[in-house]
Order: sequence, then C-alpha cells, then structure tokens
Amino acid sequence: MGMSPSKTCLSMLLFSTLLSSSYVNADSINGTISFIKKPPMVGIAYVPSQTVSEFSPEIDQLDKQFTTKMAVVNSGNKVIFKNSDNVEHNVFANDLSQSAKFDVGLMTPGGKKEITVDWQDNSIVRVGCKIHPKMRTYLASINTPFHKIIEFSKDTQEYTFVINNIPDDAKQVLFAIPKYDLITLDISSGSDWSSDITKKGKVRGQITIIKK
Amino acid sequence: MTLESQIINKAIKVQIVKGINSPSSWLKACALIALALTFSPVFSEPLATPDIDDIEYPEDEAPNQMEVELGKILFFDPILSANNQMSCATCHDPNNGFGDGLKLSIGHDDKPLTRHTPHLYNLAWAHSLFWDGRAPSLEHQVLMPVFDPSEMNLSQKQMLERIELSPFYKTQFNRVFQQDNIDTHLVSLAIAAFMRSIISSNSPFDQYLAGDTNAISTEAVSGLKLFEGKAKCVECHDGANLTDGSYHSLGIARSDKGRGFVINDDSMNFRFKTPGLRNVSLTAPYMHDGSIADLEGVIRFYNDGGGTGPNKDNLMEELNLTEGEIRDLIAFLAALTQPISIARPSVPNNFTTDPSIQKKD
Repeated sequence: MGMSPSKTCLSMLLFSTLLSSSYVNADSINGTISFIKKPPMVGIAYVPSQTVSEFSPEIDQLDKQFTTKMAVVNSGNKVIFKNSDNVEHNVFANDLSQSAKFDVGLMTPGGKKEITVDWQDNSIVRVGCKIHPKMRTYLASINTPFHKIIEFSKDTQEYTFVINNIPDDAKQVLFAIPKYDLITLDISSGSDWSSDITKKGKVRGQITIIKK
Repeated sequence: MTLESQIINKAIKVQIVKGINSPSSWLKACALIALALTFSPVFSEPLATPDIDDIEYPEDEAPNQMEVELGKILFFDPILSANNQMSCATCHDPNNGFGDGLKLSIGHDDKPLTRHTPHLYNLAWAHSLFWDGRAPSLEHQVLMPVFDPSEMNLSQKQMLERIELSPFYKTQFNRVFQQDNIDTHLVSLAIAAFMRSIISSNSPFDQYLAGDTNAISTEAVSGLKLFEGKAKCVECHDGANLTDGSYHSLGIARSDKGRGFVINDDSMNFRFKTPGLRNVSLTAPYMHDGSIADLEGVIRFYNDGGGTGPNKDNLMEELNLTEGEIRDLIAFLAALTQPISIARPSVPNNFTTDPSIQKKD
C-alpha cells in the first residue's frame, strides 16, 4: 500500500526543503544609497557568481511607459515585449558601444514581439520606442541570480536594498547605473564598505553596504 | 471625469430612474457598462505646470547664468550664418512667439524651406527636436541649422574661425568653460543652455491649476473640459507641455515623409512631432507646413476629422463641435499664454581681421 497523496506531497516538500537548504547561503548584502541631487532613473546592485542563471523577461508597455525601468537578461536568451496600450509602439535599441541593435517593428495594441539577446554580457543597454521618445527602459545582461534592481524617483534621495543568500565565497559587489561610472566593492575582507557614486568622475552620491 | 466613467455613471442613473426590478433597464445598464469596459480611451498624462526637476540637463547639471548669457549672444549673432545676415533669432524671433510668422521658413539666399519654423517654448523638457525628431537633444540640434547648406550654410571650420577671432567670445568661453580651446561642443552647449532657459510655466492656466479659479474665463474652463473630453485634444497634447512628444499623421503631408524618412520606416511616413501648446496663440501659422493660418482654422480642421493624406492617424475623426465649443477651445488655448520677454543683446563686433565677414548694420 503506497503513501496517501497528502503524505507524498509533505514528503516531497520536506525533501526539497532539505535539498535546497543545503545550497542556501546565510549571508546577505544590505545596501544604502543616497544621492546629492535628483537621482537617476534606475540602478542595479549585483554579486557575480558561478551559478548559471537563465533570464527571459517579459516587458509590457502600458500608459505610454514600459512597465519596468530595468530587466535582467542573458546573452542568447529571449526578451518578450508586449503592448497592452491602446496605441502603437515600436521598441528598439541602438547602442553601438555595446553592439546592441534591434528593432521589433510596429506593435499594434495587444501585440507581442520577442528578440534574442545577441550582445555582450556585463552591459546595460537602453531600450526605447520610436514612436514615443519619452519611453525608456534598460536591459542589464549580468549572469548572476544575486542582484537587485533599484528604481529611483525624483522625489526621494535615500534608498535601501537587500540581496539575500549570496555565495559564501563572494568577493565583489557591483553597482551600475546607466551612464554612471561602474562601482566595484571588494568584500573579501571586512564587514561594511562604501563608495562614492560618480558620473564621469563627478560625485553624485554614495553607496554603503553591510554583509550580514 | 473620463468618458469611461461618464458611461458607467449613465448606467447607474438608468438603474435609479427605471428601478432595479425593470428587466429592460438591467439589460440597458449592462450594455452600457459593457460598452464602458470595451471602450479604451488613449492614456493621457495629466495637464500640469512644468516641473523644473523634470528637466534632464547634460551631465545632470543646470548651466550657470554666464553660460546662458553666452548662448543668448550666440543665438542673436549673425556670424553663425555664411552671409552674416541670419542669426538663430531671424527665424526664432522672441517677438514673434520664437517663430517667424511665415508659412514656410526662409533659408540661405532667401530661398524658402520646406517646413514651418517651430517655436522654442519649453524645449527643456523635449525628448526629440525638429518636426521629424531627428535630433535627440538640444545639444545635437542647435548647430544643425547653422551647418545646413539650405539654412545658415556655415561650415564648422568657418564658425570656429569666426568665434576665435572675437576677443569677446575668447574671454567669455574661457570664463564659462575654463578652457582656451573653443570647439563645436562648447558652442552647442552654450546655445542649448540659452534655449533651455526659454520657459513658460506661469500662464493663466497654471495660475488656475494652482487654485486661482478666476485666472481664466468661464469660456476657457469650458474649453479645458472640451480639450480633455469631447475634442480629444489630450490624446496627443497631454502632460505639462501639452505634447506627447510622439509623431502623428493628421492627413496633411503627401510628399514629406517626416519621421518615416528619418528612421527609414514606412509605417512612420508622413508623421510629425506633436508640438507643445504653451504660448500657442503667439505661434501662428500652424502645422509642420504652416498650412493653417490661425487657431480657429486648426480646430475646424480637427473638427472635420483632419486631412485626406496617407497614413492618417486612427485618432483623427470628426468631433461634432458646435460653434460655441470651438470658441471655448480657443479661449482655453489663449489661457496658455505667457509671453517671454527677451532683451536683444548687443553682439560683439570685432571681426576686422577676417575680410570674409561683413557685418550687417
């Protein structure tokens, strides 16, 4: 006589919990970001890792805006763009510095298109709409599950973020804002770190992180 | 109140009037609600007063006043044209709504150009410039007419030589940018800094938004309701500067492909950028080709559903506005007026060493 379905489920849950807990890392990164003046649009903090991660985000367009300010992608994977608006859109990117160029063509209301990320990893590519120049989002091609996208708003200068369960052997935390200087924090020793946030060398704010 | 909510309110009123026990009234109410749910008005940003904090400056830094003043002098200086007779202000005349009042602009050697001179109000918030949006920022845009053979027809080399010859400019560029070498980038930064300072944000409409209910007439208030409702103007003319920054075909153009030519995309053919409407009463004539002489003509054009040219926008349809409603809309547009007074600066006159420059008195 076999186990009842409920017992089977419970066993599988316990097994999977035990299995996953053996890979869970206890450390987390708690970050604080402050800007001197008006913040930029979005940034991403991440911990590089050997863990293979697959990202195929779906980005919608609603009220003449992208529904997210940034999405994480992988080279070789797809990004799906939807149009839930009542007007046409035409998503494109033309970032020669990252060899990123695509144009999904005209998207009628309700339309859906996809592209394959064919540009280099470790880059942030700006994406826009040919019909609505105000629209903007970014695709961050980073190969790590340990990341946090932080969306900024013009009225707030202080932000916090957490990246949980980072690898025990993590040595760096990187912080990237489009058009700003990339920040690399060496976390191989100590327990808290900070750096100026700069754009072309000019100080725009500060980031502080604590490992817990 | 949006059209959608108006329909739902009407459905509720049907129930109240007919009573909840009337099957026919239920059917009618349900049909109206279904209509409301399927009716999808185009999203519009709320009309508002422009917020300085929303301006995206180069390198996130607002220019200082010295840079703005230097840009203003360059804007008015005819040395930026090959024949030394045209300045930026020749077409973008502050006393003429930063336009020229002409149907089509006049270029080099007094030859007519193919489009109407656009105004310059509140371009600090613009995400693309020119009727076809071919420039992504003011810094990209400002010298394009200077170097265009059909417009001011000056070469980059000539421009820099002329500026370098002026002790005034040498001193001022050094003071503003702390470097001896004047290049095109610095010239464009200075002129763009001035153009970004041409801001209208305290019109009677802005005072009305701030709570002064007497700031605009009752006709203008009615016009505002029409602008956001029956006349559907906000479907393109929305946000603080009354533009969606997008490109539309009104059925006017037949040969000028506008945005479609710039991005090599047939679907965008004959589309042109939605102009902002701040100070629109001062910027006649209207449309990318200056083909409509006054605001009344513009509203009647929209009321008739636009032109018959190709690739016309789906948003264009007959509006059935009454004569009174047309007048109210004009009253509202007039409430967007806040003239910007710019004193013409004295331009430097130190070019005696260059025989090619004959300053016009």
